[in-house]
Amino acid sequence: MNTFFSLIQTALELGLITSLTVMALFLSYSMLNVCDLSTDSCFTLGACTGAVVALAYPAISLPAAMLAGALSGLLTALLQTRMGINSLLSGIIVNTGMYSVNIAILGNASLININKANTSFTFMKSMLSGTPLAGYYRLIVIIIAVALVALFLTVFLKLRLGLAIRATGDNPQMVNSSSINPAFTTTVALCISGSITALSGALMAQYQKTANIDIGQGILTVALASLLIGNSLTRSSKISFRLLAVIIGAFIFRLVYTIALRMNMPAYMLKLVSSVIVIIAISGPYLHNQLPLIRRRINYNQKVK
Amino acid sequence: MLTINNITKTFNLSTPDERKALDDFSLSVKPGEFVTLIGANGAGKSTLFNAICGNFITDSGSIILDGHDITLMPQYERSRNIGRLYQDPTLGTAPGMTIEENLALATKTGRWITHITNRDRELFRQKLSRLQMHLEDRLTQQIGSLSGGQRQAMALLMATINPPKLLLLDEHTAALDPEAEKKVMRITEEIVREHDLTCIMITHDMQAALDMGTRTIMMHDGKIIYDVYGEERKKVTVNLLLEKFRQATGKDLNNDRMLMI
Repeated sequence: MNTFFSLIQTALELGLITSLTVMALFLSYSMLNVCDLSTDSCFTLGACTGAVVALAYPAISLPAAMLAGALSGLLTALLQTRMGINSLLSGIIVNTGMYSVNIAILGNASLININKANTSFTFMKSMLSGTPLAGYYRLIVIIIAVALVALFLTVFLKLRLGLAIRATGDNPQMVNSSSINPAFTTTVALCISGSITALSGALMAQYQKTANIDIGQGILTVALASLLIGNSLTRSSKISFRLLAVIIGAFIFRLVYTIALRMNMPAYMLKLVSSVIVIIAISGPYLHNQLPLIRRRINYNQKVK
Repeated sequence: MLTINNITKTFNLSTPDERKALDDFSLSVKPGEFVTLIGANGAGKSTLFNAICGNFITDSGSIILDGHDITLMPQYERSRNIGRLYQDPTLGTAPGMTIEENLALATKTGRWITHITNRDRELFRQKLSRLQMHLEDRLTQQIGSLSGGQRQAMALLMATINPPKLLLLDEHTAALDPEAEKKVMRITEEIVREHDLTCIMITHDMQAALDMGTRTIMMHDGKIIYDVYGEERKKVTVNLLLEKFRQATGKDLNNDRMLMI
């Protein structure tokens, strides 16, 4: 029973750390309607920056990671809004280039251990030692981070700036002929989503007490799967509900994954599972709509024969 | 208010499809003037609007709006002073956002770090009630669930809630059913009159072109071929417009096709 709860708790912790990236995608993918393919490298950038800074200046580890993520988002945005590079392509280019940057940040290494460094987790652990909550110090750090980001996004997306970002994704033609500069809204949104993704990565590094060059590999697909699971949970158009749904979606994804691992699914299957979920979630509704037409074609072909 | 000096725009330059959409085009519109713009398909009417709004930069010439040279200004900067409606009602509003969120984007533009306040909502309700479409009670409804006529009325409201220096209407009622068309046209006239807006309206309805507004311009091949206003305009009939077209182009204007779009 105890292992069961500790498994659930670990799934919750890892799910909530990923849910930060899911919320970043909620902003860039669901609101701005840009699929930011630099998410993987941005997550790794956050993890590397967070880990390296934690060794020297623990207090600014997370803010430093967020700043790095914002710069990565800025770069992706500049490529697509000012340099005429297609939005998918600019994400891929940044993703590739950032690999070298991340290795450089790790000091020409592909792995860094921060076992002995002070992190937000060790800070919370010492704060809570001796209290009944001592066993939940990890979860509490993560919940605080998730709650702050969710609160920020809920407020931000209702500001006129947030509305302008949503309009840019919702009806680009309308925004083009309005006084909103789509280059500006795209840049702001990608900077914010980049900094949230990097925060997610930095927390992951602090949680695992290590950062490596592959930490962000495939996180975009995992987060996208979580986002789509979350979207299927609610029909509300309210931002707060939708954010809550995608956070739960991230947890569900992690839980299913954990259960599958317990049933002896090898760990390397994670990425395949997340890809399959994304395929089902996106193509499912499409195929469902096509079904009547496919049936008619089959009937027609049978009659002809 | 608006002065256009000798603008030219050639599409597909140096290809077999080369086409002069605007040919040394000049026009001066006085403040408060309501111009109705007619012409056959391909005459350059929408291209003229695109040039004024900055969808493209003209090859030559200059465009002056209210004393400011906007010839090279990017589109979003011009849009602060220009309201524009399209034939397609889906182009003017964001469907996934609510009525109040759409209206919020049209007000206090540039003041990014502001929420929708109750005073904003009061203003929205008051403006919406003028449409007589009962939208004032549905501020939190998504625009995508509204009818074409309602969406176009919303787009019109958003384009004029901060009275623009110039209002451009590109057959904004052509895609609506007759009932909605009448309603949107009535609201258009009311709003234009109330704020004394300078306005150019493209229409395929030649009778409406003469009934509405204060001046009528006919375009052909990127040029003005007929321009009438004041006392003289009161005597103009649809038949005279057709005659003017024939004189200028040597061709018959197929009135049916113009009306049918």
